[in-house]
Amino acid sequence: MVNGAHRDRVVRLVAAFGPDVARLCDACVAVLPGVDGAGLTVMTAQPGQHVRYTSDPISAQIEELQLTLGEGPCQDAHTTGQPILAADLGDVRWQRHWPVFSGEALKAGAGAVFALPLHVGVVRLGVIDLYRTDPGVLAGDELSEALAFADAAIELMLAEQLPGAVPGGDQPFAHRAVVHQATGMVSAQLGIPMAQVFLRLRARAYADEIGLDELAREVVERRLRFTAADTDGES
Amino acid sequence: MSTSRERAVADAFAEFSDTLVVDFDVVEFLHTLAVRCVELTGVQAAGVMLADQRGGLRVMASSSEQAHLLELFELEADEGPCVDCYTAGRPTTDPSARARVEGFRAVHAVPVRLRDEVVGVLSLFTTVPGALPEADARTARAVADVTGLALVQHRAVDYRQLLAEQLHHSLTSRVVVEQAKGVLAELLGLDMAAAFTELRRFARSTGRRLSDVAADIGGGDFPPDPPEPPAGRSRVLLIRTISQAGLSKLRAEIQTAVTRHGLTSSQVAAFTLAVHEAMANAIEHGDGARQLILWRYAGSLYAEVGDHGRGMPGGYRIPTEAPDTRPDIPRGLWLINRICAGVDIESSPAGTHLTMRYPL
Repeated sequence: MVNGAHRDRVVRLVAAFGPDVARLCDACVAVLPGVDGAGLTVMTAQPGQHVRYTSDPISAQIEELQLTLGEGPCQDAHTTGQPILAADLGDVRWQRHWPVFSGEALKAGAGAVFALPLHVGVVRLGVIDLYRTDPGVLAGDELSEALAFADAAIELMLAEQLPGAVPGGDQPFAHRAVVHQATGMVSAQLGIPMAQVFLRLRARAYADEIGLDELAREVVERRLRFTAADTDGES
Repeated sequence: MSTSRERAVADAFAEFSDTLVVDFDVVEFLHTLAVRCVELTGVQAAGVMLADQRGGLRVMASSSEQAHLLELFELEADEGPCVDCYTAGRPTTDPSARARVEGFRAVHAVPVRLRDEVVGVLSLFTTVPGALPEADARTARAVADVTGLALVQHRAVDYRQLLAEQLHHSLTSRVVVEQAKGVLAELLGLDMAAAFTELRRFARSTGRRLSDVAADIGGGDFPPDPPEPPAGRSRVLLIRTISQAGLSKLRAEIQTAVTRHGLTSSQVAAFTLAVHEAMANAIEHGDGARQLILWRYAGSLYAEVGDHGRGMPGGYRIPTEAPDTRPDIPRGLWLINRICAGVDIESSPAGTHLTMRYPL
């Protein structure tokens, strides 16, 4: 199972470094040879953006610059939902793209920045910025490994909002379409944003001791409905 | 290959290249590709899977959005001939897949390549056992090649990096589409296939990209998000079915929703009246399930009221004259036209949709 390889990787990272997101980020910097530092900015809502983690003064500057300027790879990753891989900040492409940020980041000591969105569909938790002092791409398997760290961070951040839940466990965030469909349905049933529905679904699966896929299937097949009473009971 | 089939293949590829020129939506494109693949070959179902940088295959599109079929493709993305095809980089067949794939007898997998790299798999299900006929296999290979090209169209930067970005984007789009299908299925009482059809219809009728529309439907309109959507995007305020019994409750919901978007109390009254008239019209003259979608886009509020009836007669024009001078004109439409800046009626075999625009 090829697909399982990534899932295993995420489960392993969550088990080894969770439940503390900062510890996971520390490990990311330590494990990836092409990465010299990392920063994580929480971007759940426009006024709620704040820097959650930085590994060193350079990454702190990178995060602060972007929040202040409103431009940079982190902002772009957030709005587009795509990884922004700026392998050479001195390159004219990025100089033009972020006229202020690219110069300031170079001055701060970053030659390359890779921004990975922490998104699950329309649910946007934040962005991880990885930087390296010298320009250069994330070689070979390093991008896959970095994306596994990003997925592990998503697991931990979702679990944090759910007291008593075991982050990831043997059941990391499912990739099955049925889970996303059920998320949409429950969001409509309760009239609440999808980010909150993730927690409800996971809490319910945890309480009922059934798999997330199985629970989602019950919702999609209309054998299970969420009502406002469930919401009150859980919050 | 027969002449009619050659023409069908040529037409399909012309359609693909047209799609690639404009600002294309990858989920929409891959869906069309899967549907055409079924039409052009003798297979009963087709799916497109892409490798996700995380080393696994993910289902991006299938020829039908039936939940059952999507799930079968997802299982095939985990193990079986599709995974073998991806690993080995050559076409693979499981000629007797009956035990594993309920309802089908064989699975065929064709690699999707980008230069020297295998980036995904085109997967075909047939209800007859055995290998694919040579003509079908050739068509399938051509479709798989177009898929690869579509992923890196007209951008000449480092293609590996581009591929990483594009694939990630494709996969995120797919998640967003599934979430939006769930929202529509719940609010309009549709199954997942019908919800996807409705999503496409709405995207086309508003002239916007499928994944943008899906993200806006999934995102809804919740504080603390500001009421004004980001540039190029919309805020979806309400999606509801319309019934006589639910009309007054729905009016109240509309009033609450548009008040958040800055309408004064007299504007709220006027706008609600216009939408009410359209809904009353739909109940009286329409057919099948009726629905309302309310959204904000580019400085205006829009309300679309739809039904599944036969629609208005061809060439119907929206009246601008007062109803007392023209007794044949329904009062509702005249009112709507007076209140709103723009009114548009779209009629098709799928139903009639009246859209009104109200500038903010």
